[in-house]
Amino acid sequence: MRTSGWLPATITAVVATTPHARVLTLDVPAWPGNAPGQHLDVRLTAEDGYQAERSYSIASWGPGTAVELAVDEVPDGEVSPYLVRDAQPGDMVEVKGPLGAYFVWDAADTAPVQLVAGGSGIVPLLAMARAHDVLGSVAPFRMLYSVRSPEDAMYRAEIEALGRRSLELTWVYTRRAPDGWGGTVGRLTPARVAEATWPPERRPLTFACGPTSFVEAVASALVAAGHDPARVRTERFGGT
Amino acid sequence: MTEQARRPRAAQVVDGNALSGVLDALRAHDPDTLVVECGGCGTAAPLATWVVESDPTADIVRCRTCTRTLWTVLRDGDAVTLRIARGCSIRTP
Repeated sequence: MRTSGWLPATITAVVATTPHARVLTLDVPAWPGNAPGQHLDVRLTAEDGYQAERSYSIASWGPGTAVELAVDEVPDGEVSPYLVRDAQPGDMVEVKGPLGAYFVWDAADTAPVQLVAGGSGIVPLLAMARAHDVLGSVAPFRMLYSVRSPEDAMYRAEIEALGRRSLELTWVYTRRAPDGWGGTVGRLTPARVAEATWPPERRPLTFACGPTSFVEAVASALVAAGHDPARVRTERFGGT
Repeated sequence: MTEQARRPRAAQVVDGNALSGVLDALRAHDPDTLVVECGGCGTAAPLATWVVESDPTADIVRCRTCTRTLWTVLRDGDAVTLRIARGCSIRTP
């Protein structure tokens, strides 16, 4: 389903998920529901009429008018500091969406799925993992989630629970790991990507989301390892 | 059906009104899935995969293979202007 134009939305809940990110729930009366992986645009209007728009991935999926976003603060950003620090239940914003059909998981597809997230790139992948879990999909799911430190992991408890229940979960810590963690700390290398993801012969559908440089590195590693580029779906959100 | 209607039709000069129906096929797809072909190197891929350089007033869509500019999307309030480079095509997925 598609909508056109800007839709009024009311913030109904805000919850911190990391020291620099919040989960926001919006009520959008005209929302037609959304597929796992889609995004929306948020528009803020200042008292003087100045408007700013940004795109955010949607953590929720399916029918209903409740839309969940998780926003990581971009220092010096125009929109995210308001959403992460100032927005309160009852505040109004405008949204346009749901948007996108490329970076979307089809719940009827039973092919293996590889999710690869860098930082807040986890949000659309969480929507896919939630849908996979709730629907009892038989598609084998793996998730590789790269964060700087344990405190930087959005939705940590929920993702750990999904890892015990419906997907194979691998953490990558680029700066500091939890106490007692036996793995290597540091950026993802092609060898670590290959180790933690489906082999090319399983023909997985891969969704990689994160900062542009992270996604480029992951996609290059997968293609070099023999994955079909057409089955490596990417979503880059700039930054470093 | 008459014999006349079964024969291939000769080209006719009409006007843009006649395209509403056929171009609706493009509109029926989410823009990120439309296949864009670079007029420079011929690479064809879904719009979602191209490089986009973005600032508050414009988005420049560049070919991931040869870096040629394919589209320039200009924004002014709610108004949007799309400039398409010579030789660049768009087709349904």
